[in-house]
Amino acid sequence: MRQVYAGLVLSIFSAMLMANGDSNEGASSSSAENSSQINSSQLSEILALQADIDYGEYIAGECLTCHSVSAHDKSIPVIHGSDKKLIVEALLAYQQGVRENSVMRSVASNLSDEEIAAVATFFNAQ
Amino acid sequence: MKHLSRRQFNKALGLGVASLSAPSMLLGQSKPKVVVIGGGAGGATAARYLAKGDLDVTLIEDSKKYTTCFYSNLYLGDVRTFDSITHGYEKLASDFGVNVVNGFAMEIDRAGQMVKLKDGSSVAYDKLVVAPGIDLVYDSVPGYSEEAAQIAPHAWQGGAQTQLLKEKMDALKNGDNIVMVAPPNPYRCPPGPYERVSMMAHMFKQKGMTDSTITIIDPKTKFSKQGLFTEGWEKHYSGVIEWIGADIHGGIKSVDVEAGTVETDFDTFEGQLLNIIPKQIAGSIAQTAELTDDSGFCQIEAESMRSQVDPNIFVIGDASVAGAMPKSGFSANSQAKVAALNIRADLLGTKVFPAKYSNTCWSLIGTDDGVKVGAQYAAVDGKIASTSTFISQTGEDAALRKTTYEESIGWYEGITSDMFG
Ligand SMILES: Cc1cc2nc3c(=O)[nH]c(=O)nc-3n(C[C@H](O)[C@H](O)[C@H](O)COP(=O)(O)OP(=O)(O)OC[C@H]3O[C@@H](n4cnc5c(N)ncnc54)[C@H](O)[C@@H]3O)c2cc1C
Repeated sequence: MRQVYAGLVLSIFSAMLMANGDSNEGASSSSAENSSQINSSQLSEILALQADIDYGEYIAGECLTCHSVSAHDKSIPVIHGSDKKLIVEALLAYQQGVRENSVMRSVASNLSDEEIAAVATFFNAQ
Repeated sequence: MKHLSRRQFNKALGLGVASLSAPSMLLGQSKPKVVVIGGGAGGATAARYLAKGDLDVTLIEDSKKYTTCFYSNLYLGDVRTFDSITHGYEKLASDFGVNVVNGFAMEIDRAGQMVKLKDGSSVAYDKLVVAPGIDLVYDSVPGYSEEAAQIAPHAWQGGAQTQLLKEKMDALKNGDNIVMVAPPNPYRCPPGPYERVSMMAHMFKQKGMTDSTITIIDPKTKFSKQGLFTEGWEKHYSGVIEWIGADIHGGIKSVDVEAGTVETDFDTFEGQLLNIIPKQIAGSIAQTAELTDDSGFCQIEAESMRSQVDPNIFVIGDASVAGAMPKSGFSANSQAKVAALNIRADLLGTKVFPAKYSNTCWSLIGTDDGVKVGAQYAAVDGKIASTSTFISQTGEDAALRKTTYEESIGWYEGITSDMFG
């Protein structure tokens, strides 16, 4: 029985070696690196926006699935109470492909400038 | 369905009465009432995001403790303990003021806006969240039944079934084989069966059970993260796992749990342990309340998770048909927040924002070998559609796979504290 399938399993295996999406996701870079590489005019524009904190609270719900309010585990940082500028910088670094993490790039690529300002303002206020 | 002990019954009754009388009637206030049926990934999150002091929130949950299905495969593989995947509702009650009622919702009186419990009590609602997860269609696999699940566990609902499967895995000897019957689409956690066999093979490897094998009889012709799993199985467990798709076996005819056999058009497969995962539909309360369509799941409005058949009801999690979103704990948690936003707006006039949904499913293939697939979603032309997606790649280096696995540990801590406080 096993021999009968060995060939088949192998051919399925090779057919499945496909490439899609982003690759080379590495360890995250520090925020100092982010700030030197991201588009600084977008950063200052976002920081100057009038933020809607209620909208920020709603968007924060998406973050809180993974970023717990007081994590014991260190793999995903706590962002509650983080500095607004650091959050904006980090989100822009993911959005602009400076920082690598496929989950965060996907999240950040779906946020408008207004949404980034709102969510960063909300976390900053916690 | 479980039977309540006298103690549980009394407790449920006591809490049920308390939630009916307070606070609106006793204090003469009239906070709008929201009832949530089911305290899983969807329902617990919904209760928590609804309860901000200005609503009277009641959560009806049949079990005292919730054992997550997420990470249950890691428990099977001895990577996590049972305790570490089991959670209580205490904080939802004490820190968030949710009325937690331990009981089973039997019926929804939609015209009267009332939920009737098995113990005879009832709870009124202005808005209702239905989050019962799934029911299993046992006889979708001929020969399988709820009783047969005591011999050949599905372990596709958390808790006792997960423990039973673990006991049976622990009792296997070197040379014993496992046969899994995988579920047809749509089912909860698309990569779940394949993560499970990875963890089964991991256990064989840890215990030196070099002569044992695992065969997956799949009603599908392909599966989630197939390239990644196939690569990982070859790498970590070469020759141990065989996947046999529908185009090879030709159809699953029947199972005999006593004999330990699965008969297909092509051949009969034999195992000392069978893990049968049948077809799934929305939890029974969604069926009884006629919230489901022909698929057995509930159609919702993409912008809000509101039921398409009753504007006072929101269906979230596995019970819903959520467009491109897979049935996952992450999805259920995400949908709960959209539903809570809209319910609060309905009842309190607070602001509504465009629905944003997200999901990531991490899977562990071997020691420190984690992979992920995920997406962001929005309501597009009345459907939940993905706006960006990502998936781990074959051939990634060990350091990245370890980082991915570690990320899932952080996610588990995050989502469970988001659900339960
Ligand atoms: C092996 C496995 C691995 C998984 N791994 C992952 C993973 O890594 N990541 C991920 O995101 N998802 C994962 N999932 C999927 C995830 O568990 C489900 O998608 C998720 O639990 C769905 O949430 P829910 O709220 O719809 O249902 P559930 O979490 O099942 O909650 C439903 C709750 O409602 C209660 N209930 C039902 N009917 C009633 C009633 N009438 N009255 C009172 N209470 C009732 C039940 O007791 C239950 O507690 C996995 C699933 C399995 C089986």
